[in-house]
Amino acid sequence: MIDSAPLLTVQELYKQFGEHAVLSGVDLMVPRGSILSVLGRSGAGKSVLLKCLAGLLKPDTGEIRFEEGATQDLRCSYLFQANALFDSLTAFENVALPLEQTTRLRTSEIRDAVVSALKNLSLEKFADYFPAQLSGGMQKRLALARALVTRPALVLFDEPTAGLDPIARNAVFSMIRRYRDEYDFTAVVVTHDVPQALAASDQVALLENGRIYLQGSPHAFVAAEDSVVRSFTDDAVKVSTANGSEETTANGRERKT
Amino acid sequence: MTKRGASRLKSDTLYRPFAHSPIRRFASTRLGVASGSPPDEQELIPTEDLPICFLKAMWNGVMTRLLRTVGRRSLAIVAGLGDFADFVVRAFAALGRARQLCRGVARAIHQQGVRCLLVVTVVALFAGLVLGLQGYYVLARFGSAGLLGTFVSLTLTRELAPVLATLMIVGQAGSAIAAEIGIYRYSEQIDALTTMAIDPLGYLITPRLLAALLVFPILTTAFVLVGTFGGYLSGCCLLGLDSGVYWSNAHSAVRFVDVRECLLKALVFGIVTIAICCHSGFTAHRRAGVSGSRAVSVSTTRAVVFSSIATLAADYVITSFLV
Repeated sequence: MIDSAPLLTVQELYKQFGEHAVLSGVDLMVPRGSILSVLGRSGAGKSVLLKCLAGLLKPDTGEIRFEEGATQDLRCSYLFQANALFDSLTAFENVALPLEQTTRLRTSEIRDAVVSALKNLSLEKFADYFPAQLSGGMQKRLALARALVTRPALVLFDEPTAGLDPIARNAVFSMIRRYRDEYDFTAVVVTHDVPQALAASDQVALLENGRIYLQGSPHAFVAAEDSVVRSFTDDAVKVSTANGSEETTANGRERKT
Repeated sequence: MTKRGASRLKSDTLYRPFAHSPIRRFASTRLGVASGSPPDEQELIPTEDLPICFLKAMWNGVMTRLLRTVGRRSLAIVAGLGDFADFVVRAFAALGRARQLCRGVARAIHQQGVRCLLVVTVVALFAGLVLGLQGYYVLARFGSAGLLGTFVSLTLTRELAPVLATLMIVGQAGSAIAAEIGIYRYSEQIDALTTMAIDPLGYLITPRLLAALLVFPILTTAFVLVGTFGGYLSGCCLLGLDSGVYWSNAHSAVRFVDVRECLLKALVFGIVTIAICCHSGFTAHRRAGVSGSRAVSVSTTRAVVFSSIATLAADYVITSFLV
């Protein structure tokens, strides 16, 4: 399922707000079909990086290259930290909206696709509910259903576990992994949740001082002796990884396979 | 002669400005006197010129600040107008790409038209009643009470109906539009549309502008009709004017050019005010010094205030061209 060929390559990405440089030359490679978690301190620029990938922010310089040389195409979905569901539309209408507005599918086809998406995320009973009438976890699932209904190649998750209890956090990462397997998308997850990220991701990248300090497998991340990396992994009590490949890049200089 | 002696000699005719005064800093910057330099190297000003120099420095400082502020504000206004024009053009350009436009327009017609119908009707009735009362007594002074129908219908058609109907729709629907779009902005729903490759202008703004093209002329026409009926109520039912005379005059007074002016004003006011309300909500995140719900509140207030001003300004411009 995970392809070594990158779906997305980021090169020398710079983004500055006024005098404050947030991204100072980010280099990142996202393998097709993988779940890549981007870790970092608060204010490190994780969400800015994600918004640049989604096209919501324009980088000052640098290149974001999708597979086959295409620029950011339509098959990219974004899950906002606060879900960004349309509060005046029902759950059904929320999921149907991207299909109605970006495809030429018939009404019956759209209905089938939406019902299927809601069913996959156990939300079929809540199709007529408004987002405000759903719980936090259900809203998260609804946002995921809306993101996946267009069958995107890349899904960007902005702090998907923020504000959730530990059990719900675990459920969210399990959900990402399960639907990645089912829908075959590539995921970039920005999170503070180091234990869950290490447990559920295929790749981990650490954003420090506006640059990718390290990118590699969770195993490599845990094994790293570097003090910056250790400051993140010390909190991760248990790590279980599904992938054994060990490829570590520290500041883009060191690489061991 | 020693330096100290020379300095003492000069002090008879020259004054070292504000040497021990709290406003020395002002003098050193405004009058060009280097505060750190030795006393003898300082620029000395003749005592008799001191008040003039002081006032001149004050004046220069005030003028510089004033010009800077006026310049900054002017540039901001020009940039804002350019941004607004770009916004409206892009909203209409999105017409070709927008999907499910009919549904969006129907919703917007419901918001701007159906929901505002009651308030517009009530205001029109009272406006007509007041016009009937005022008009009757004023015309009666000149022995022309029979012209009440002409007075009411022409006043409503040419001036009051477009303006008052617009102000009512802005108060009811325009403020709601600005607040709704501002909340979309702050809850990242507009960003969500962008990430789903849906043009936010085509989805949120274009249907509302199209609806305004339909709703404003219709509600303005309703205002004229109800207002004329209000004039009939006060003029004929309360004050005893002959109803046949009233309706005959009301009918014959209004010509095609008056109706054209009325509908043209309604169209222009509709586009301008709804565009201002949409733009104000859409750019709620750009409000300086405020954010979140406060920014939405400020945007809503601005939307209503600017729309009202724009309505009256556009009214003057259109009237001056058509009269």
